[in-house]
Amino acid sequence: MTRPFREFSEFEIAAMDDEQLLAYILRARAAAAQAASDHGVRHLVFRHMDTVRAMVRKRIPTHLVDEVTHDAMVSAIKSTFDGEHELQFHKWLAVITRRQIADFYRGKAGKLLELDREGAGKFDDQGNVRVERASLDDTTLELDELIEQVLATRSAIHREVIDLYVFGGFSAKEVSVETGESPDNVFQIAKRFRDELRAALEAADRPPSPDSDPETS
Amino acid sequence: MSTVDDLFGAFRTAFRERGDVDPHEYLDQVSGTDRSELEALIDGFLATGPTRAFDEAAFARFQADPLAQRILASVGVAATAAETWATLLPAARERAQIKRSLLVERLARALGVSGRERKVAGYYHRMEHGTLEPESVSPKVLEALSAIVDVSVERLREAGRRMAPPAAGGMPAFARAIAASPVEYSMPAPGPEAPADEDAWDEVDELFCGG
Repeated sequence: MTRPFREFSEFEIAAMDDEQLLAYILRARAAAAQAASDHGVRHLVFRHMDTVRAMVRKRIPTHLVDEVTHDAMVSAIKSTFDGEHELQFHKWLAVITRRQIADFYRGKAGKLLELDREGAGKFDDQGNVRVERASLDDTTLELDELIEQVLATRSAIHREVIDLYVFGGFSAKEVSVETGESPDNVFQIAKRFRDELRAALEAADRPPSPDSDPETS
Repeated sequence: MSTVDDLFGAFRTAFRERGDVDPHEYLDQVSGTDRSELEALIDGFLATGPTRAFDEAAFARFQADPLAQRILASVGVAATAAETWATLLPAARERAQIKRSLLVERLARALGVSGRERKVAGYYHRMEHGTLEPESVSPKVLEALSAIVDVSVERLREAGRRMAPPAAGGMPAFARAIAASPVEYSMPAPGPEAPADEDAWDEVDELFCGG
């Protein structure tokens, strides 16, 4: 016998992780509890909107940030409820956001450019969108691949250490409790990652030597 | 000059405290490989899916954000939930630009219990956090609040009816989630506990718990 659906309080919803929240929303939908489902979605968007907006802000001209953020959030939520992936929600959201940013630079996001035609001073004489050179630089997109390359050689546990200690800002002691690695080992894993990342970034920033340019050889 | 680690730490703290942060404010302070490294660290942090700890006032502000409203509308959800005290009171207080301490002072005066602000603050805190039984709150309290935050008594009453206090055992789960979060959650002071000399049932208890 199926358990009847129970609408959770604000506090109970806040205590759920993303996957529990998504399951709650699906149960609410199955029980035709529209208000509960809607409120769950509000919490989901509340939790992640600023993260997506920050990811987009790094790479998209300011006046188009909200458009790309909107499209990424909507696409991720709809595809999640359509069952199109099995990733954790925040990971899927990151994938979708990167795709939206890449689409923008590939010129597929024509509607965004159309929207911008209303903005005075944002176009050059030929009607092309005028944006800062730096924000269009491909290196920002290549950075994702570079980080992934450096991380790819790490074991799952070392990646977790890096996520928590380097990116998350937890102390070595806290990461030790979470992962079982000693605090000293946590520090060493993090240091090796930072050193390799720095070396890879320096190599990427270095201008290619004339010998390596196929057009001059 | 700020180092990459200093700037990354500052970005992370700002993001956890206020959410809507522009990475360029930090990236623009360094150049060359330092900038690339800071960018990589910010990317890595954002990819871990840092989520905002729940906070009533922040949630109310979020629901008023035009971008949030557009996103929610695009997935078929109305932006604003049915009002409860937990959403209405912090938003109304913010709109009226009244600090909680001042609101409590005025509320105590309006109810004729000046000098008992600490106890009134405890009860008001519970109203904002949905842990006070709405039916037990006297109409006098709603009338006084109405005048202070400029929200009709009827609207306050309706919002209260929609709010059911968490069942016993509900709060520890919430507390665990807060403890597990790297985000510091500061419960507004003072808390619901009254000092020992205020334990005795008095007119303040009657106003907030006597119905």
